[in-house]
Amino acid sequence: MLDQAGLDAVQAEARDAIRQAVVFGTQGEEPDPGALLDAVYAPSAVDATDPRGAEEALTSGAGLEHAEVAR
Amino acid sequence: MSTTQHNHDQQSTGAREMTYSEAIREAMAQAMTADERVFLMGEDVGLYGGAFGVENDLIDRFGEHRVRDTTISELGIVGMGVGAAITGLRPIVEIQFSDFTAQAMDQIANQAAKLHFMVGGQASVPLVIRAPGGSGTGAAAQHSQSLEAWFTAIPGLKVVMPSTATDAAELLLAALEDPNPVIVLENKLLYKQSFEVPESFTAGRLGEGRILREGNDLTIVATGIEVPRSLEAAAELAEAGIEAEVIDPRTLKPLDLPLILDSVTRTGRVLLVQESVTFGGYMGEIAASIAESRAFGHLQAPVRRLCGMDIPIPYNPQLEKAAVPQVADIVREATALVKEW
Repeated sequence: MLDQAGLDAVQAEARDAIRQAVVFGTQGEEPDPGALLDAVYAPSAVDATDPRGAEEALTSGAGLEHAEVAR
Repeated sequence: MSTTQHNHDQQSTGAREMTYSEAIREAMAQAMTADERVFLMGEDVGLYGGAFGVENDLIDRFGEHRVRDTTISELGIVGMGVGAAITGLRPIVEIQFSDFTAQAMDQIANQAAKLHFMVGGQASVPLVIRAPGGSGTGAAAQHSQSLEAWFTAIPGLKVVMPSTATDAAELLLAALEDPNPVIVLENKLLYKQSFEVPESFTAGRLGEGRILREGNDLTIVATGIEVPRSLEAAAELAEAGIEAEVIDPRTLKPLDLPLILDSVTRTGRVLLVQESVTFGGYMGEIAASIAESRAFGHLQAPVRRLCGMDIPIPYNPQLEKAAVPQVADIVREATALVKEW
């Protein structure tokens, strides 16, 4: 059974964690823009956003022979 | 963004100035005065005046009977709206953040949007759902999304996304006149922006887009908060000798596709700008429609989408800003489309 001292300790620990989080949030360094992609998906063998390098294909010139038709 | 958007609103005669939220409030009051069947429901829309202050004093003007505070249950709010609508009333229900429509999706997608079809046209659901969306307020991942693509994929539902005070008011009035369920996706960042508006509001027309700035070098199609950003970008582009035509569809469904195709046919280049994510986003629908049309043969460059990153909206202000298209991004992409092709 948790006694009052135990409750006070839990409360103090929670307050300290919140205080540290506020200090981090208000005084910490700005995150790197690269952090935008962090933790969107849990690590796995297949990248959910780019399983086969689709972005690279779009920007590398692959498929441009088709775009030439439109030009 | 400046605090006042001028030249943004072609309907405006510049007769007066008011904020986006004031315009919505005036339109709701106008509708409630004109038609006693119109009433409001939602979380904190009464005594508190709305989470963003949109309703303000409407409860004092129309009473608790017509400005009804509800429990915290989006499913219940929309469900009551559906019931009221099919029994002859004209409810406007507010979902405090459009993110919370997830809680109400069964009533929106499976009831409101389908009842008319499922009873063979014997009943209609003239329900208006107002829901603010978008990032930029530091409200983080669960209160900052742009979910329009969810709703445009639901047959039976009309989707409005106003970017000016006049459109917010007049398309709301149009939604109230429509016998179908209409979801109006407002933008939180625009609520406090001031606009020139006409002396009085009249119901607009759903399914009618608008060219907000004319140009011959490329077409920019933008929605929501990306409309004022695109106009600001177009002004910068003009200084560099690039004339961009800026189109606001205003109604995402039904879409004024001929307006877009005519413009793309003339300019030969198109940049599609939305705050929501690229993958599975609404602009993909416009891109596909261009590809399927005669306008495709007039393209001088591939269709380009400039959208939000495929990530939840971050809390940190700098990352939040970096996650969705800003004016500089639009200028950069438009310039590349014109200069590199």
